[in-house]
Amino acid sequence: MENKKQLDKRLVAVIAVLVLVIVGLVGFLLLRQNTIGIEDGDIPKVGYAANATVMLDQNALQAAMDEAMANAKDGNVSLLYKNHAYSEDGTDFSCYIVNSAANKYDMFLTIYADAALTDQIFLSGLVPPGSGFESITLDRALEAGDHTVNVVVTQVDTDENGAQVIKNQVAHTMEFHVSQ
Amino acid sequence: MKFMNKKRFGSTVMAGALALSLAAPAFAANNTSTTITGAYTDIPIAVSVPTTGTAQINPYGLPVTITKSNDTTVDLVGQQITTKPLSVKNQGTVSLDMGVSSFLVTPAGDISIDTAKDAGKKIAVNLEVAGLDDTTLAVSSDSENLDNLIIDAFADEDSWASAVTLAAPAFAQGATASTITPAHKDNMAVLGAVTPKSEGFTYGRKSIALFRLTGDLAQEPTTGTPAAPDPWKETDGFSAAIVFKFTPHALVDAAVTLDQSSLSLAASANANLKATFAANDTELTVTSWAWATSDATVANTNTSNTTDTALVANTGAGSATITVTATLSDGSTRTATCAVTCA
Repeated sequence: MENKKQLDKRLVAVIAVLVLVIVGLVGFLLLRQNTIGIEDGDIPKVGYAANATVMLDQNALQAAMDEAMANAKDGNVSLLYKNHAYSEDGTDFSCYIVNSAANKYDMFLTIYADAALTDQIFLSGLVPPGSGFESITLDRALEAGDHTVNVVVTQVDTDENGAQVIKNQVAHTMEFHVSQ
Repeated sequence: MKFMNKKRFGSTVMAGALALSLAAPAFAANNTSTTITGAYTDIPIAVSVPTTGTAQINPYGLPVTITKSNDTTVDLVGQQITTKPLSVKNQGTVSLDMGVSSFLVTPAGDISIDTAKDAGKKIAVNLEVAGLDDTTLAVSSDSENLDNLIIDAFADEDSWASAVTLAAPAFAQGATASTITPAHKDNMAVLGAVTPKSEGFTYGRKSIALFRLTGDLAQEPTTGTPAAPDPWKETDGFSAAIVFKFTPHALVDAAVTLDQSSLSLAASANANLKATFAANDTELTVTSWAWATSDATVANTNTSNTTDTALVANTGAGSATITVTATLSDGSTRTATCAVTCA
């Protein structure tokens, strides 16, 4: 009788662990939505004067400003992060990068090792407002020492057809430190 | 246009999912998001940044009108490059130094970028950042009027009187971006901390900085010798990219200085000393001044003087120290000294 009770407890414990694993897996897959195939619509990459063109006509100039002001709605990104991230091996970094709860849109991160934004070392999945990263693993190891990296924050919206499109982008630096 | 490196990212996702299936608890520490609930020893940087904007090249500086949410309007006049009002707002409880780690303007069409315009289509483009010090902007974070106040400040040229400017690097027509070293500058503005409240926070009078692109270009460009008209075309343009840099600001205390730290006086001569107060990162003001001498038989000054300027007189050969003390609005004091040598 005693043995049977213990067996029941073990069974319940195993089932509970399995349920937790399944819930965790489902949660992971939901949170880590794919950033592949996100269309950027008319929004160019990081920039503050994308495709500025010459305007000699007063009406066209005013129309452009009116459109810019209309697009300015929800056009700010709230950044929330710590400047410094640390690693022992150059690949796994402890960090603090959050999609601020003040934001309206999901975001993903792209981290570049160079100022020209060509040497990508990290690309995240989608992060909902209020969530973030306490650790990341880079695509390749950084050498021992201090590195200024460029973090591009991209907010994602859903258009009228249900497709995900890039809404906003901003970029800022962080300091990544790898132990000697 | 698809976003970059999708295949690479896809393999990363697959690898991540596979690893997760083997060790579910590890996902929170391996490139995936998790709700942040822990306590952190360092205060994070929290700042609101405007995203991709637009600019217009406006050779004649034609006026444009901005209509605010309360239906009032302001005009931007005489700007050869026009941007919508752009601002950066500190949303954290620490003051921030705002810098730009990368500023690059890529020309299009017949345009090239340089530090000064020419008679043709070589134009200068600058990034201007103006830290504001305005009590009217010290409003609640949920204030519906904040955007209008920022628009007013943006349109007021007085706001830009002390703006810090960063010139875009030269970029020849047809050059590739990888060959250009972007411009950069630290400390373009200090963003003052905000004050938390039960819901949200209240901006400080220095929490917000404006930024814009400005430029200098020919109204009616010419080319060749003798000069022939080379009118602007719709294909002439540029794109500008900015990477921000934010770091916690090291607070600078209020201080008093004298215009001379040492002074030599001939026999029977006298001279004025002028004290200057700098509030720096404090809100303090001077409530009173006081002057003293270490030896009135060498260098004397009126110890009843309560102004920021004092007359120092040679009363005998030797050395003495004149000290000015400023009493501040919080009751604290700051001092500065001048070593006086009398013949």
